[in-house]
Amino acid sequence: MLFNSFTFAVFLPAVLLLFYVSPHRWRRALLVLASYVFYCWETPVYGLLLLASTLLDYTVGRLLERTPGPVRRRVLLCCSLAGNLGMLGFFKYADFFGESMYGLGGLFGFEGTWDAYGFILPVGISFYTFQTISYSIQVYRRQVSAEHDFLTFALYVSFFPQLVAGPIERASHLLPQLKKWNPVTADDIRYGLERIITGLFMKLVIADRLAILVDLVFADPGHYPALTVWIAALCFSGQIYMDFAGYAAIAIGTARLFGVRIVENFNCPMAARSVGDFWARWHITLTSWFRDYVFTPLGGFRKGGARAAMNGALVLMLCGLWHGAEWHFVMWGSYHAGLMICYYLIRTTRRRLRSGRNKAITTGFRVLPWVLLTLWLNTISGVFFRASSMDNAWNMLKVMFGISNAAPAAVEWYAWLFLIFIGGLFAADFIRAHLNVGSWWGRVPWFVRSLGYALLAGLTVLGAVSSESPYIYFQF
Amino acid sequence: MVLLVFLALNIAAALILPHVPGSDTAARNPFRFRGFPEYVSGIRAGADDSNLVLLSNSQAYAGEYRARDGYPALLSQLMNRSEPEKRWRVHNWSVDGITSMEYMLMAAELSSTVPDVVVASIGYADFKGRNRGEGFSHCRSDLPRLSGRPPVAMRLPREFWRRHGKVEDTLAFVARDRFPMFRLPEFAWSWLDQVYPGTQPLLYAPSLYFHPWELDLKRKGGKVGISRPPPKEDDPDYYAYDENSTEMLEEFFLALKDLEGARLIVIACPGNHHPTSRHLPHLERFLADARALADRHDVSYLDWSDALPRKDFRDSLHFNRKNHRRYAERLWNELTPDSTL
Repeated sequence: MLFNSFTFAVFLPAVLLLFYVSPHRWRRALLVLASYVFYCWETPVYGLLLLASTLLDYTVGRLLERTPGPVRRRVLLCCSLAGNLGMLGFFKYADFFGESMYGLGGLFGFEGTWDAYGFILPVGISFYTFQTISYSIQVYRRQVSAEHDFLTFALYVSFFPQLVAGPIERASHLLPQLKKWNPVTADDIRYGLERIITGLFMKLVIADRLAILVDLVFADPGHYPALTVWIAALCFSGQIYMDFAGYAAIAIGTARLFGVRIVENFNCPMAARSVGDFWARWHITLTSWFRDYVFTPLGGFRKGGARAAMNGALVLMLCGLWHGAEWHFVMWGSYHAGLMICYYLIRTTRRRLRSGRNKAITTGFRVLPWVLLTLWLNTISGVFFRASSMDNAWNMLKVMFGISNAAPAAVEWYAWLFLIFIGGLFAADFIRAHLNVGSWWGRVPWFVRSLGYALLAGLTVLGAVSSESPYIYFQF
Repeated sequence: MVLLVFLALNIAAALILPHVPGSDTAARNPFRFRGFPEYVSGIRAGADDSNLVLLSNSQAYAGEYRARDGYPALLSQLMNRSEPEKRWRVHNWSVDGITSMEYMLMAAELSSTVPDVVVASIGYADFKGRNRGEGFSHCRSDLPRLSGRPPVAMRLPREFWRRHGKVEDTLAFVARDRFPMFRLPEFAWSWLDQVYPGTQPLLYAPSLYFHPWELDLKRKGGKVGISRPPPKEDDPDYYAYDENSTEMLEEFFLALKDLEGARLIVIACPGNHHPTSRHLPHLERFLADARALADRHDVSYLDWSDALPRKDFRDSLHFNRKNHRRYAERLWNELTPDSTL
């Protein structure tokens, strides 16, 4: 079920109504049921995978609690990892690795073709498997105690606002809220509705509109002049940001209507002043997941700059693969890995040179060149992300860098229009992140705020793009 | 506050959106695709009136000409001239780009009215097999808004709902039916696109190549030429008539058969079929199906697929004025064989 659908517009009020009128002891069961309906709406059979992941980690958690021995505890943790990553690997990566292996074999003279399974990727599998893994690791590390109530745990895995595209929650943050319901206040409802309206606007009005130019140009980059292709690539940066951040805003707002607070997933990523800063602002819950469960166990910053750079690069390559079982995603991850290594090297050198002198510039207009440089680097990475294949990505890059002959025509005027859109988006992020304007919007009287959001809702109805399109991150 | 804004939008939409005249007063839907619930509810039972309902595609819509030059309007003139004691109302319920879904919905709508004659002039492409898996959003008209009216919805067969009644599409059309504000964007973008051509596909609906609302506006400035790569390959099977088509066609025949008290004629509409056309196998299959289904369900059927001279077609389906006149006369002869002008 999509957040930007009429079905969800009926589903959410119905669930909310039942939630508000039902006694506390029924609320978990109600939300678990609602979450499974939400998840199984299109393909019911994949609900079994969700249930399997839930059962596995619930059992592992209970057993970990009873098991004192470190070896047995490690074995249990490995069971959880193998089960979840195995499921993810089988449904998401089996065909990719199979085809890649046969392709590689072909280079050495082996003949044969991979008989593809052709599964339709279960929606959100990458998100909920990571969430359940984080639970098992936290129980293993004794950061949280194992959950005894199965319904509470099932709700932790399947809570529908953040089930299919995050934010990826941690047990230590979400489970306590699901065990003891906070009363839903008027402020919660107001805040929840504001976030939902903002999220819908970001998705339906901005992201889907930017997608028009992006789809047009990515379909055949050779047909357009180089500058148009650059603008389209830049628009994709804005599209995916608005698409995903819009989803996160709706998820956070929806959860708040149930009295649950979900962590933020974005913090003005278009205004990042470095590659490292970008990853601290973009898809924050995934980045912190990789940081805590991959980067830090590998040594983190403890073993010197070179090792940290290598670990960071490895994490980003995994991050690329997490996004999709396609070579262009691997390339996207590798590109970011390369950038990260360069970033660490430059940072370390600069710190040495700067020792004893002023600190680096971190805010104000003076960071603008660095912000623009980061945006430019990310725009190039977006080409790998959005491309339908590696060929498509190379074709885009060839036109962008003038390697192949671009169409001789002048840049269409509407490409400039899209550039103005994306410029506005960038300016909004930059002002929020670096110009210290404060939360002026939070200080305006409530009725002005309400009127503002009501007008935004009206604008969304009038300005939404006609085609209903799924969220980009649903495919992961 | 949000509810107040939505209320204001609905009131504004109700005031701004043009009134759609019924099919008893307009020779065809003046807004081309939208507003069908209002348009198809035009039939009134009158003591002296006889109602002829024409269910058809863009051939009958005749968008290339003024409404009065299309064959439905000419047929209306002929009918009224030959039978002056009767007043014939010809309801042109045609849709440009019609699908089997719209035929079914029209038939469901018809069963609550009292037409004297129903003429279904259909072509194989109207029942193309790929329509089987589509929901209401695939329709080119707002006719599925009828599904928001339970009495009409209940007349549609269960199989039809199973096939096309996708929850999201149905809810979307119910919402559009009940809340005019959801029709406002299409109206606004159609308006803008007709004044500044090209703005609709550029900023609103990249996949729509028609206006949801066809308005008679003066164009300002040239068309916004959106640079698109040339199409790579034509999809040869887009119009394929297959076993799914047979199922949908039979459903339509059964729905028509249920209309009580109306004289019913199904016609395989004339076309300009080139002997080497790759679509010919689809046409032949459709004609064989239509004939067999008509025999099986005892429906009056005419194969007029080659009835009109090929030179008087504008393309493979659409008539020029001569063929509009010929087809009107041919229909008139069929409907009133004893009459002479």
